[in-house]
Amino acid sequence: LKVREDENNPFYLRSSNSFQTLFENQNGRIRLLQRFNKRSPQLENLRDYRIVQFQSKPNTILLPHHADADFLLFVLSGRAILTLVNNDDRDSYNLHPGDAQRIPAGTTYYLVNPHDHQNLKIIKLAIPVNKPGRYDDFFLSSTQAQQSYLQGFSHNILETSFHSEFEEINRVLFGEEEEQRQQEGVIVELSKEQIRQLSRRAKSSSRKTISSEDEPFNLRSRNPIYSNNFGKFFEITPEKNPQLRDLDIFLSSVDINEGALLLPHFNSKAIVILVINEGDANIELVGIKEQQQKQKQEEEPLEVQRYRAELSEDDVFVIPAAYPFVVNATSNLNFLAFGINAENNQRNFLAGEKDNVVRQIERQVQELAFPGSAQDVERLLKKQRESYFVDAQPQQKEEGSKGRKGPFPSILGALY
Amino acid sequence: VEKEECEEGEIPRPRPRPQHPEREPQQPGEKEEDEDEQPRPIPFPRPQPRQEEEHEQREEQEWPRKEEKRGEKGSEEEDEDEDEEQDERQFPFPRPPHQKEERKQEEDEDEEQQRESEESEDSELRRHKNKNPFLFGSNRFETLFKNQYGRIRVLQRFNQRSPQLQNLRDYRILEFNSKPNTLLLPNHADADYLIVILNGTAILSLVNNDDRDSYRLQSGDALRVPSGTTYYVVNPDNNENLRLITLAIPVNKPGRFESFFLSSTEAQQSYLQGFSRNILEASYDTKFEEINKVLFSREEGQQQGEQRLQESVIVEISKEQIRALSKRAKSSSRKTISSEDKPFNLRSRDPIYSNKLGKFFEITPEKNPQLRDLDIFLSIVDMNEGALLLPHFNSKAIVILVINEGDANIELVGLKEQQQEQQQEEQPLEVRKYRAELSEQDIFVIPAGYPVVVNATSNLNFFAIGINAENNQRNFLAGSQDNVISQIPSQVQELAFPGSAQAVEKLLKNQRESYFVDAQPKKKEEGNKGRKGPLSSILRAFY
Repeated sequence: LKVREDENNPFYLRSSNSFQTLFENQNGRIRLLQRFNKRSPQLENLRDYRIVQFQSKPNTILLPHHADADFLLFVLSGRAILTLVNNDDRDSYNLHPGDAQRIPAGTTYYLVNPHDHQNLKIIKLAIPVNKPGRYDDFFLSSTQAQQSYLQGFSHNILETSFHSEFEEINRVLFGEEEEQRQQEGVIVELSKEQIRQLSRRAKSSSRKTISSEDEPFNLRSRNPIYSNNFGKFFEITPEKNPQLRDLDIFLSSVDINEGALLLPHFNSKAIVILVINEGDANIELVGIKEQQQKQKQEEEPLEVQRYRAELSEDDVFVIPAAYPFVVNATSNLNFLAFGINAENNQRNFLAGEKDNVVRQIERQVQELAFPGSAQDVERLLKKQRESYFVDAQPQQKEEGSKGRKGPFPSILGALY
Repeated sequence: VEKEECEEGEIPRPRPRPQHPEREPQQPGEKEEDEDEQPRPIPFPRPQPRQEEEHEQREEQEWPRKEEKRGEKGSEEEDEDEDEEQDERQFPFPRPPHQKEERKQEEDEDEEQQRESEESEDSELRRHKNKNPFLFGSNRFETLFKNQYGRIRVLQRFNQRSPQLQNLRDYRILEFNSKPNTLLLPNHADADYLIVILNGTAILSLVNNDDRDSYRLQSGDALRVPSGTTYYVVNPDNNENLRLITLAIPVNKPGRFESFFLSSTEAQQSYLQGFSRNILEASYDTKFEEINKVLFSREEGQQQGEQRLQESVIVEISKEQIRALSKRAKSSSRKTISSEDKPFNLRSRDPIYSNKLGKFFEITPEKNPQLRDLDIFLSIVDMNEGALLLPHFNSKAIVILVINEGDANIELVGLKEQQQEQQQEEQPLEVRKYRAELSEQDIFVIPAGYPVVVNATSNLNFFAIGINAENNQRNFLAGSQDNVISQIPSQVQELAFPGSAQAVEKLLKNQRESYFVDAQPKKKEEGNKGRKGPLSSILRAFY
C-alpha cells in the first residue's frame, strides 16, 4: 500500500506554505489560500472556490470595501461587528464564534473587533463572480498599502461627479499630499468610544434567524446531528438555510475530544473543505491508486491509496466526494467544514452502529462480498456499539471499563 | 481521399455568405499569467455544456506526467489525426478511467494490436470508422474488469476523441455485461449515474446509510443512482445475459471518476484496506487479524483465505440466493414515471412518433424529476428494416446514440471548417457530410443543431441520451408534420430557394408521411400502384 503524505498529498494544504498574505500590519492580516486546482488537478472542480483567512487585534476595524465575489463568512474565534452597506440601507451584526453570514458580491462591508483582549479570527469561502477562482478587493480608502478605487477615475470625471475641485476631493477622500493623514494599512485601530457607537445598532444572531434570508445564523444553535462523549457534530444544510441553499453549501463545526475518532465514512456527493480551528488531528483519506502502464499488462489488482496528513491549526484539507476518510483527534480538536455541492448529501458510515452502509447490504450479498460468512460479518459490525465518534484506542477503553467499577469512576467518566 | 467520409460540397449551389465561422481571436492583452481562464459564472460545476478547450489543454499540461502538450488548434484534420494515433487501440487490461491521458506513452505496444485488429476487420471500414469524429466503435471502449461472468467497459473521453466533442467532457459512458446468475459486488463511485437496461433483467439494489431499495429492472427501464450510493447488480435470469449502459457524470474531477469496492478480490483491493490497522481496530473494536479474516483475507502468506477470495468483481450467485434477493425487489410501473427515485420505463408512455415503419419513445426532463436534475432526455427508437428517420436536427440537445440491436447508416451534416487563408479569399462555406455504418454496440454523437438522418438497414433498436435536454425541440426538414421548412412563409421561401414558393410547397408536400418513411421511395410508388392490385396486403406489411 502506497501512502502519500504531506507535500505528496494533493489534498493537504498546509497553513505555513499554502497561504498568500494579502495585507498584514500590527493590527491584523488577510491571507488567501492558493487555488485548489493549482494544488492538484484532482481538485479541478473546486476551481471556482477560494478560502480567505482574516485575523485582527482587539479594538480594530477592517476598512470599508467590496469584492467581486460572494463570501460565506464564519467566525472561528473572538467577537465581530460586521456591517453590510448597500445603496439604500445598512445592517450591523454582532457576531460570535459559530456565527455564519453570507456577504453577497458587491456589498460594501467593514469588520470591527470590538473586544478589548481577544483576537478575532474569521474564515471566508469566496466564490468569485467575474473570473473563475479570482477576485479583487475594492477599498474606498486610500492608505499607504493601497489606493482608493475612486482614484482610478480621471480628475475631470471626479470633479464633475462630486461637483468639486480635484484638490478638494483629494484632500477629503485621498489625502495623497499629506501622508500622515493616510492610514498605514486597511486594518486600523479604533477607540473604545467609536466602538461603543458602532455597537449600538448591531443585532445578534439568534435561534430564530437560522432560516433567515440575510441575517447571521449560528451553527451551534441547533442540536448536534451526531453527539456522544467523544465528540459533537454540528451542521447546517442547504435545506435549512436559504443563504446556504443559494450557494449549495453545507457548514459543519465538529468537536472531537483528544484520542477520539470520527469513524470512517464518505460523503455521497459533497466535496468537503476542512479547516482546522483548534487542536491537532491525523486524517486518512482513501482513493484508488493510479496505476502504471506496465503494471496493467501484468494484470495486477487495482490498489487503493491512502492519503495521510497530520493536521494542525489553520491547515486545510480537501475530502473529495465519495472518498472514505477518518479523522483522529490527537488533541482536543475543533474544525470547520464547508461542503460544496451539498444538497441531498449523505454521510455513509462504514463502522459503528448507526448510519452504517455496510450493515444495509443484504446478507446474501455480504456472503459473496467478503471472505467471512454473513454471521462473521454481522458479528464484526456489531462489535462497535458506539456511533460516529469512538475512542481511538479500544484497548485502553477496555481498561477504562474495568476501571469504572474501581475507585476512579468519576474521573474516568469525565475522560470518556 | 476518404470520399465516403467527407463528400464535400455536395450541395448544388453553395453561396457565399457574409459571415465567417472564425474562432475568437485570442485577446493579446489577456495572455499574461492566466490565459487558461475562462469565465464560468455558475458557482458549482453542475456539468453543463460549455467551451473549455484551452482550459482542457492546460489541465493536461499540469497533469504530473510526461506528456506532450497538444499542439495549438490547427486544422481540424490535424487534430483528428493526432487523436487517432492516440486512441486507436483496444484495452485488454483493467485500468481506471483517469488513465486515458497517458496513452501516448504506449504507442509501441499498441501498434501491434492495431495491426492485429486491422487484419481481423475490414480495414476499409475500420479507417472509415476512425475518421469520423462522432463515431465510437467497439474499439473505443476500455475494459475496466473482465472475467467469465461479465465485464465493465468505459468509453474513451469524448473530448479526447475530438475537440468537436469538447462540451461532453463532463460525461462518460459505461457499459456493463453480465452472464445469467451473477452479481456485481457492492461498490460506489464519485459520479452520478443514469442507468438504462438494454437487454435482460437486473435486480439493482441501492444502499444508503439508513435504508436499502431493490428494484427489478427490465429492458427499457432507467434509474438514477446518485453519486456515493453503494449499489450492486444481480442478473437473476437463468439464460439471458444482462446488458446495461450508464451515463456517468463525475463529481470531483471533470470526466474522471473511480469505483470504490467494499470487497477485496484478486482484481482489486477493498477500499477499507486503505485505512491503517489501528484505525480499523478502533473503528470495529476488533483485532486486525479478525477484521482481515472476515473482510479481506489478503495476506502475504495467504492460506486459508485464498479460497474465499473472489476472483473479480462479478461473481456467480446461487439460485437460492437470487430467490432471497428477488423477494424484496420492486418493479418499475407506469405510476413511477414521475417519481423522484424509482425506476421508470421508457416505453411506458405512448410513443411521440409512431407509424408502421417505426416508433419513437421519449421521456423528457419535464416528465421525470430524475432526468430534470440531470437535464437529460432518454429515447428509445424502433425502426423497421429499410426505414428512414427523416432528416431533422435537435434544437439544443447533444445526443449520444447507442445502437442496441440491428444495423443502420447514419448521415450527419456539419459545416466544413475552413483554413484561415481560404477565409480570406471568401470561398463559399461548404457543408460536410459525416457518414457511418452503425452496428450493435456502436455509439454515435449528434451535436445540437446538426441535421441528421438514420436509415435502418436491418430491424433496428437504439437508445439515445440527450444532454442539455430541457426544452429541446426536434425540427424536421422533411415530412408532413413538425417540418420547420413548411413554417417559413412563402415570401421568404421565394427568396431562400431558387424555385418558386409554389414549387417549394409542392416539393414539401410530396412526402405525406412524417418522422419515419420508407428509404426506397421508388418501391413505394410501385407499392402505391400495387395497392390497387392483388399484392397490396403483402406490400402493406412491408411498410
